[in-house]
Amino acid sequence: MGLLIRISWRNLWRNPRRSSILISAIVVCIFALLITLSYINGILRQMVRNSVDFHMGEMEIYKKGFYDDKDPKKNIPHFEEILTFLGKSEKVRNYAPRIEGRGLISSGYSSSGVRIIGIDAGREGNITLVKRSLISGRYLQTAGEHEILIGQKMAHKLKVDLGSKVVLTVQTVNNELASDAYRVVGIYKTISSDFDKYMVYLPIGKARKLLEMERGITGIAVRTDIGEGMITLEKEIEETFPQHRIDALTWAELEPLIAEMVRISKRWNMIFFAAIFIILSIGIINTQNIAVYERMHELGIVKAMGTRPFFIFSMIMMETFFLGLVGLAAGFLVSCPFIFYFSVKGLSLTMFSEGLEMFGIGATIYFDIAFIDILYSALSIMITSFFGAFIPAVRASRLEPVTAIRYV
Amino acid sequence: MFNHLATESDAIMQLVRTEKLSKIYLSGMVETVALKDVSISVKEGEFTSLVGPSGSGKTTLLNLIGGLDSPSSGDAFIGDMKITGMKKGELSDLRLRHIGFIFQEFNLIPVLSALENVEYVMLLQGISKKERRERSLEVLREVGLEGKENNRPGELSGGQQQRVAVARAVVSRPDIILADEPTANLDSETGEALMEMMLGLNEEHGITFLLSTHEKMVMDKSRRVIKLQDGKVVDDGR
Repeated sequence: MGLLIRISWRNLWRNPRRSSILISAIVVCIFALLITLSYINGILRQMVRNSVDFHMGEMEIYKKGFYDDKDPKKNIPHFEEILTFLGKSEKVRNYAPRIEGRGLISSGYSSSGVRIIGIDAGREGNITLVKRSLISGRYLQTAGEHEILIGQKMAHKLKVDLGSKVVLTVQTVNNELASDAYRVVGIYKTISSDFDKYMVYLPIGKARKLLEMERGITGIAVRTDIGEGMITLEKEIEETFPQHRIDALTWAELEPLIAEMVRISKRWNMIFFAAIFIILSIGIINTQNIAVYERMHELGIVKAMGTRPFFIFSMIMMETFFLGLVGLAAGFLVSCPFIFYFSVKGLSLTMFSEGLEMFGIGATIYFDIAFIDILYSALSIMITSFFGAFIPAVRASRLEPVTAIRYV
Repeated sequence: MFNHLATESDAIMQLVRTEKLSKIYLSGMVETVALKDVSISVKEGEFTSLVGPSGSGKTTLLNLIGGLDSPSSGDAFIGDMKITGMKKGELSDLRLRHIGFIFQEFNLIPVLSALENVEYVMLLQGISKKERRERSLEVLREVGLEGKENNRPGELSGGQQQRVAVARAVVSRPDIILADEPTANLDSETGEALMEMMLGLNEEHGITFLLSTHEKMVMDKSRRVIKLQDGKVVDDGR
């Protein structure tokens, strides 16, 4: 084994220029792969995180059917036992009850359709980033009065500012139209202009009163760190409270568009990976074929001395393995500082900020790469090297010594 | 280190034997007869040269005896082992354990040092590291390459490279060494020195050599000369 490793490693550097070119190709592949992957992951993560962090949480619990039409008549009247369950569950990091409805917000200047979210200010602060996104004024108070938080875009549209009064008009659970006036106590700005134009926040009690709900809530936002385990939690909640006829929905079910984009991106990544690796493997096959051809006489000599075909096969395979390994190490060495830099500082795409905001993405993309992606990339390079070397290695091992020796 | 050969040489047994060995190459519809009914035998401890002009069949005969090629008809034996009909794996084993090869040029593995090249065959034979090292250093000293152990082939002259090739061929103690024009690419002085060295190994240790050559100097120094012409033995000057 020692000799095999020694010969293979030294063979790699017999033609330093050729090896360097191939190693450079591997470095470029790794770089392209990791940068693209971390950039796309960064965008997707930001899209998911923004949806999760600014509104949904990882999971929301609704009365069956509420999510489709946001009709506050489909509420959960006796929600307390669900909150108690969530409070005791080790899988749940935080939760907050909400009352949601749709309505019209008006100022003396303009009006606009909005999604009204009644929140428990104390709990909600631990659920979303809205509190941290305030650019002026203050957050709602737990026992707040007629106060409202609106987004900066909405404030511009309505031409209102802190202290201004706006009127919310809704259809109540009794099918009546109801209106009430609220004072703007805070203006927030998130990275999503759509969000800022559409979401307004009231104290939960005021929202209940506006919608003429006697009691109950329309939903609960849940934060959890269990990732894939959410499916189990979802089932657990639904099965624990069958009498409430509730749906526990994960972020992927609540934002199917984003979930689909994540899925499509992963598939696209696979195609991209495959294309890169096919090109790379062609390069490896070609280079190793030339290497075998150039060493034909020498291979004939070693076969004549009684070297077994498997030794020669292993020698070519190991040589390519080293080639992949060196390329991989160099590729990581080149790529990692870039990824690290952009994951901390972010890649500024200010000139595309408006377009990006439409997709709920900030103008700065923070690169993101998981260990498993790095592992897959490394494995893919090594597997590609293996397949690339296979044909030349078989060819070398099958050489007839008497024919091979004639090549000089 | 070659004592076992020296003692066995007393038995004067036939080490290599060919019986009506023929080799015909086919190129499309054209048949080229490289060897025709060649029957020779080489005894243990002999130093024999196969001579003849280019195309006379010297290399073909060496290849057939060495199990590198298969005959069209006839048989070849090393000791009591019939080479013809052996499977590829068996031939590999035969070459590894019973035959040493020296070729015209580019004999060595360029990425290995002289010492590693000499050790190579023994490593394939599974000989321990300590023994490999001891035997290799001893043989390298014997062929006059002490101090050059760590030089790679590219750092050695043509003559020194051939000495390493000889050292590699003899170190694993094969039954016979087949050398295909070993001095062909060397200047006359270096070629003669190499020849003297091989003769010395033959004399001192009884190592059997079978060479192909068309050089007069080699013919003159050989103890037995078999002349080939048009694939046939025309003279066997014992």
